[in-house]
Amino acid sequence: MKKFLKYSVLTLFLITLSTSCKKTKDDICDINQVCYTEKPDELYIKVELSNSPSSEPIEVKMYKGYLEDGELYNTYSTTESTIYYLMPVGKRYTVTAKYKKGNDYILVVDSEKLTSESYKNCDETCYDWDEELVLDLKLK
Amino acid sequence: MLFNILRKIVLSFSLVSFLLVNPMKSNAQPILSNPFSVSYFQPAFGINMGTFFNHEDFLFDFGLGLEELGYDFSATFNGSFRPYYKKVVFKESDNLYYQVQEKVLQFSIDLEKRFYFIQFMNSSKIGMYAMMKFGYFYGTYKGLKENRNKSLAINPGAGFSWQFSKVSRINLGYLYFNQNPYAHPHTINLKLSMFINKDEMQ
Repeated sequence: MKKFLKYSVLTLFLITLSTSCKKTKDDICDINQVCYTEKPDELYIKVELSNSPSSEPIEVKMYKGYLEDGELYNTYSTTESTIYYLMPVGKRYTVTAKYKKGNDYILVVDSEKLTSESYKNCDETCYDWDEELVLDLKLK
Repeated sequence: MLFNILRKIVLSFSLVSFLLVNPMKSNAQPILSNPFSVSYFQPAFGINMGTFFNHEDFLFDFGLGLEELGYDFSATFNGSFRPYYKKVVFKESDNLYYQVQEKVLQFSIDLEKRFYFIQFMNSSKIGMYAMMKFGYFYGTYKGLKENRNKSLAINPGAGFSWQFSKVSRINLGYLYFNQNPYAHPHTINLKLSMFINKDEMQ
């Protein structure tokens, strides 16, 4: 029984360790730490694209929400490999890139929610965010 | 992303290695036994964790349920999932293909029967197993609201089983996982099971 308990505790510990990927900053108090007390309104989304396999430019569409029922926010044709959007925080964005390859079209889809995290440092609420949200619309 | 996957693989193998250290200290003599012989009914609760993988895919598998130690049989409820997104391409309509990032999940009832043919005096046993997963499979895709490739599936598997202590067992074998449309169906299955053994408690 003791062995079983030992193994179970160890297993649970390792499962927890292996599934907890996010860095948490709860319950810290460091006055030297930079603390952004204002929640960001907008953040950058970086869209990465492949070179077009044909001479046609790539048609990039951005949706607020999911592809099936999201609101089309922007349509843009480009031959560049990177596009930036400055978008409001707290919403999911889905971006598609339509490549022409021979007689077929390949619609590459990626999506993420644009968020910032908050944590307490001493008595202050601080905000943290990634510099940019990267959406990978490169061809496989 | 790659770092997290590698970390999980390393942690999984570290766990298995750690658990194997003590039970391997056996000085018992092997005894051949009839793989079809059974003992009396000894139901117990058990948990299991494992993985099935090939050169195109990697899934974790966790389960809990009944471990029948007398008849060397188990029936567990399992959840399996791919812990990372994989780029897949599928045909959406004529001349239009979607390239999306996919995670897959499966919930299953797993039935397994073991046939031990070598036993040691220290409770270690080595033999073969045959198993079947009866599961519900589906894929989730970044940017798509609806899950796709939903299917009911039966996955047979077989391989070697080593009960290396009174409370733990490791299986290594083959699993046919054909409902995953964008990966090869032939996978290697590695599973560690732990259970409450009343003999151990006495």
